[in-house]
Amino acid sequence: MADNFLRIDPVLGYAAGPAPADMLEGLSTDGTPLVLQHEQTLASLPSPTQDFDWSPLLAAFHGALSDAVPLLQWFFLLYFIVWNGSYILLNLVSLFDLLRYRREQAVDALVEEGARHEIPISIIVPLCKPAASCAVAAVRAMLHLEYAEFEIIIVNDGCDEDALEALVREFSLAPFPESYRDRLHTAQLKSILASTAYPNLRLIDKEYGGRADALNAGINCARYPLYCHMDVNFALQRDSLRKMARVFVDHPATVGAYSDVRIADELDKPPLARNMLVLFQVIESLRGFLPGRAWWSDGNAMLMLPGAFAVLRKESVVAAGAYRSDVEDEGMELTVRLHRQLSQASEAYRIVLVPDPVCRKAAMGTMAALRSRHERQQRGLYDSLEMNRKLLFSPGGGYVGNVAFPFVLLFELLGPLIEVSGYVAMTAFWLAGAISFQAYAAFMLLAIGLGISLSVSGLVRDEIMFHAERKFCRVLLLFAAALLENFGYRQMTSVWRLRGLRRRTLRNESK
Amino acid sequence: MFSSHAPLVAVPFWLGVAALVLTGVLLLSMLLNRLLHVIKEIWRRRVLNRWRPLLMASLYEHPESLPPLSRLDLPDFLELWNHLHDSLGEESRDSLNRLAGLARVPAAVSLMLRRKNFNGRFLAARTAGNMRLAAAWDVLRGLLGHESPGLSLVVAQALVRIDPARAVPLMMPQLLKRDDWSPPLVTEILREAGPDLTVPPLIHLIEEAPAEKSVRFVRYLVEISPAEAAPLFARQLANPASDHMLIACLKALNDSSHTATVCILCRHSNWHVRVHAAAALGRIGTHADVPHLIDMLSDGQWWVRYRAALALARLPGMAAVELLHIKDIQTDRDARDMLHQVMAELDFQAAAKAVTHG
Repeated sequence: MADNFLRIDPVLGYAAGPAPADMLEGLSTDGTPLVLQHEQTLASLPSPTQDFDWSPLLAAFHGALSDAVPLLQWFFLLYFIVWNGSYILLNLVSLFDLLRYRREQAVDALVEEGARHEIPISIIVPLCKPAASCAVAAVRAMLHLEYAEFEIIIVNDGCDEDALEALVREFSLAPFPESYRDRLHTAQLKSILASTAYPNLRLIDKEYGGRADALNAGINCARYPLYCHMDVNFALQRDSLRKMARVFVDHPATVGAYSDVRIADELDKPPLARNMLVLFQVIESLRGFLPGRAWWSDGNAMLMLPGAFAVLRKESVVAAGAYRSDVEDEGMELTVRLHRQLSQASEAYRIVLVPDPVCRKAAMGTMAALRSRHERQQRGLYDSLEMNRKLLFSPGGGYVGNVAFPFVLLFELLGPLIEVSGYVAMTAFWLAGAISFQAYAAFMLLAIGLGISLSVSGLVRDEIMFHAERKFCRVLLLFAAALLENFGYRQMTSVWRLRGLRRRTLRNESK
Repeated sequence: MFSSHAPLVAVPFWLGVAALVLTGVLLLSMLLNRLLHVIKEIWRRRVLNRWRPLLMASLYEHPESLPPLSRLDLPDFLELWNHLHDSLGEESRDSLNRLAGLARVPAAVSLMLRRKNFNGRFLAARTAGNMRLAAAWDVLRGLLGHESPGLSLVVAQALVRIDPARAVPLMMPQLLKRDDWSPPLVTEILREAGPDLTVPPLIHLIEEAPAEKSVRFVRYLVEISPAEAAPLFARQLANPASDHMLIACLKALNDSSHTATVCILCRHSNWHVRVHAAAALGRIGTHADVPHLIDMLSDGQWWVRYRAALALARLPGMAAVELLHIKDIQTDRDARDMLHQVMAELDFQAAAKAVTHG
C-alpha cells in the first residue's frame, strides 16, 4: 500500500473524488475500488494542518507587525519632520546671509574702475545638436557681454552641418593653425577655426565624445585663468561675468563660483496647462536651489549643484582631472571631486554661491522632458557621491565631509526612496487596517503641510530678495502653485528621482 | 479633536497645523513686504520730486532757505545728494555741501552713524566723506574696524576724504589685517589719498608683511605709482622674497634697465616665472634679446612657448619676414607650431581690426 500511495500521491495530491481508472489498473488486490483505498489512505494520513500549526506563527507575525507599525510610523514622521524642517530652517536662515550679501554689494557702485581688476574668462560653449539659428543667436548674445576681457570657445561635438555652416558664415570663421595643447585627453580633433571678425571667438570641430569630452577640449584651448561653460539655451545677463568673477578678485583662494539658472519664460503668458508646469518648475527651483546652497556656501560645503551656471579656476580643474565622461552630471561630479581632493590636500580653497540670478534658461515644455531631467539629476547625484565616497567622514574632510556629505546622502540621494516608501507604507497600513484613518490623515497633513511651508518659504525669500522683478499677480499665481504642487507634482518628482536611482543601481549591478 | 489620541496622531496633526499656520504667516509677511516696498517707492518718488529741483537749482544759485527735511525723507534725500555728488564735477560739490549744511545734514549724519542701522550708517559714512565732515571723524574712526567689509571700506574712504594725512596711518594696519576688502575699492581709496602719503607705508608693508600678502600690496603700489615702485622691483628681482613676489614684479615691470635680470629669469626653474619673464621681455626687450626668446620657444611648457612667441613677434623692429625665417629654421616642431599660431593670431587680429574700423 505504501508503494501504491507513494505512486499516486504526487499526482492526486489530496483531491477528493474517484481516481482515474487507468491510473488504478493493476494496483487493486481484492477488487475493492481503489478510490476507496485511496480515500482510506488519505484518511489514515495526518492532515498538514494537524501536523503544523500555523496559528502561533501568524500570531507572532501579527504581533511583530503591530510592534513594527508604530516604529515605522515614527521613522517616517521623524524623517519627514527633519527633512522638511531642516530645509525650511535653512531657507529662513539663509535669508539673512542673502540680505548681507545684498548690502555688501552696495560697495560695487562706488568702484569706478573695477574693470582693471577683472580676471579674464574663457566661455566654453559645447554644441550638441542645436538648431543653427539658436546657436548663432546664443553666440551673438555672448559677444555682447559686459566684461573687460573674455574669449568664446565653441566646441562642435557632433552637431549637424547646418549649425556649423551657419556659425562659420555668421562669424567669418576660418581655419586657424592652433598649437593644440593636449593636456586633457579627448576625442579626435578635426580642425580649429577662428573668427576674422571677432578676435575673441574660436571654434573647435571634433569627433563626437559627449559633453564632458567637449568641455575638456574647450579647456585645452582656453587661454584665460577662469572659464565658464554654458549651453546655447542659457541666457546670461550682460553683467553676469562681472558678478561671478568678483568673488575670484576679492578672495583669490576661490576655485569655483556657482549661480542658480532661473526659468526664463516665467514671466510669459503661455496656456494655463503649460503655465502651471512652468510655475511648478519655478517653485521647484526656488524651493530647491538657494536655501541649502546659501547656507552650505557660507561653510564652504556646497556639494550638490545640478544644472548650475559656474565659473571655475582652470588650473584647479585640470589638476583635479577635469570632466569625467562616464558620469551623468559631469559638472556636479567635478564639484564634489574638487571638494574631496582639495580638502584632503588641506589646501585653502573656496567654492561659493553667487546668489544673483545671472543666468536664465527655458522651462521644460513637457512632462516627459521633466521626468527625464529629474531621473538624470538623481543619477548624477548618485555618481557624484559614489565616486567621491572617500570624502564621507574623511579625516581632512571638515565641514563638507562630516556634515554636508552625510546630509546630501541622507536627504537628497535617499530622500526620494524614503519619501515614496513613507507614502506607500502609510497608505498600505491604513488600507490593511493597521493604523486608523485619523493617524493616516494626520501623517498626510504633516507631509503636505511641511511641503507647502517649504515651497512658500522659498517664494518668500525670493520675494524679499528680488521683489521688484515680478508683478504682484504673478506672485499670487506662484503662491497658488506652491500650494498645488504638493498635491501630486512633488510626489511625482520623487518617484521620477527614485526611478533614476533604481536605474543607476541596476546598471552598476549589471556591470 | 486629535489631542486626546496617541502621540502618533497628535504629533503629526499639530505639526501639520503649525506648518500651515507658518505658511499663512509667510504669506502675510510677503504681502506686507510688497506693501512696504510700494509705500517706500511712492515716498521715494515724492522726496525726489521735491528735492531734485532744489538740489539742481542750488548748483546755480544759493537758496536762502529750504523746506524742512524730515527724518523720513532723510535716507532718500541723502541717496540723491550722494548720487549728484559722485556724478557731478568738482565745482558742483561746494554748492551741494552748502545746501546740505542748510538742510542740517551734518547733525543728522552724526546721529545716523551712532545708530546700529547698517543701511543708515553706510549712507551716513558716504555723506560724511563727500561733505569732508571733520566732526564725524571720531565716530568714523571707531567704525573702521567694523566686521562688514563694505561698511569699513566706505568708512576708510570717508576718513581719507576728510583728512588723508591722518587717515592713511589708520588704514595701513587694516590693510594688512583684512583679506576681505575689495581690491578695486582699496586701490581707488589709496589713489584718492595720493602717492605721497601712500607709497612709503606701502613699501614698508611690502617689505615687512608675509610674502603671500605682499603680492597684493605690490599690485596696489603699481596702480598708484609705477615710478615709485621701480626701486622696489630692482630689489625684489635681485633678491626675491618668493616666486609669487617675483611674478608680481615681472607683471608690472616696464623699465628696460632690468632686461639683463629678466633674461636670467627666463631660465628660472618655476615655469610660471618663465612665462612672465618672457612676457616682460616682450615689453622691455630689444632686438638683441631675440636669442633668449628663441630658446624659450622650445620650452616644455605650452604657456612659456606661447608668451615667448608673442614677445618675439612684438619686439621692436621685428618684421614679418624675419619672424617667418625664425619659424622656418626651427628644428623643434613645438617651436615652429607655436610661432605659426602666433603669426596667424596676429593676422586674424589685424583682420578683425580692419573689419571694425571699416
